[in-house]
Amino acid sequence: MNELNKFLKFAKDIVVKPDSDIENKIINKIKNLSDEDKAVLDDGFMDFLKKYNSRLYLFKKKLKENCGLIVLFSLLGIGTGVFLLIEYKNYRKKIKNK
Amino acid sequence: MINGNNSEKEKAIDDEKLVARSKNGDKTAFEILVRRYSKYVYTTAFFMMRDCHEAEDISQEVFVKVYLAIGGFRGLSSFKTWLRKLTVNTCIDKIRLKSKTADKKVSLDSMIEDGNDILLYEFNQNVEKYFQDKETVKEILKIIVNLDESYRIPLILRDLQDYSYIEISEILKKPVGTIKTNIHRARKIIKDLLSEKQ
Repeated sequence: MNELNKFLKFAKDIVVKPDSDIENKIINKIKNLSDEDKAVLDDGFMDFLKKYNSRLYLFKKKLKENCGLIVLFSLLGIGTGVFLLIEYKNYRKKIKNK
Repeated sequence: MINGNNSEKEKAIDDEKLVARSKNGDKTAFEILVRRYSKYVYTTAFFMMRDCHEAEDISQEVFVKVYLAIGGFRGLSSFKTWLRKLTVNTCIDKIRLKSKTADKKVSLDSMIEDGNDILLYEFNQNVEKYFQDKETVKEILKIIVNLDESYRIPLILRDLQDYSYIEISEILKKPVGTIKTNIHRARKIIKDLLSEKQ
């Protein structure tokens, strides 16, 4: 499977050469846009645009995707906090005893 | 992916400038973006749709959308990420529409070899190994384009487009478990077919 992953990584870097001159076709299309072409800005696209312009949406998405990591860091943070608190209490006890 | 020699960081800065200029109505800047990313968009669409004409139509549609809506792009993610998500979304919409209207079977035998040249960047290896790897990557891609849609799309999104399992499950409206299983099966099919050929 490792070998396959290596080749799949390579596959990410490939570019398929189109049959026709796609760049100029796109540029010409954009130069000659009609009102009908504006239909591509449908509800689905507007929703996509709204989502990717929303910091809250992107933050929630990151949070969702890194759930495990967030839990791990939270536990580490709590653990460190508890450890420091115990150490601080011990230190204060020592000072009082002195 | 397109300009292999430039660092990602340099390219990202450049993209930002080009996007800003495009927002101000600079058509030349937008043309540079088209030239930089059209093959990338086409490649993504090609592997998802398995049809060069559809990939071409989708590429045009994606750039028309970008051109008409670039003023509303806030740049919270990189332009390339935004473009990639938009391409994938457009492809998914087309696939959904297609499966609703017609169950069209596409013959893909030797499509890659006959119809399209695949350009590969050098892998920083010795020449002999490079050609071996190139052939293996070609074999893998041929297997991928011939996979069943339920395996192909999740595998492409995960392994070629770097989507997370959660994102794929949201896009395809399927449980994460199903997505993971299908990707695992797809990889196993590729592995088995590759070892059969070797």
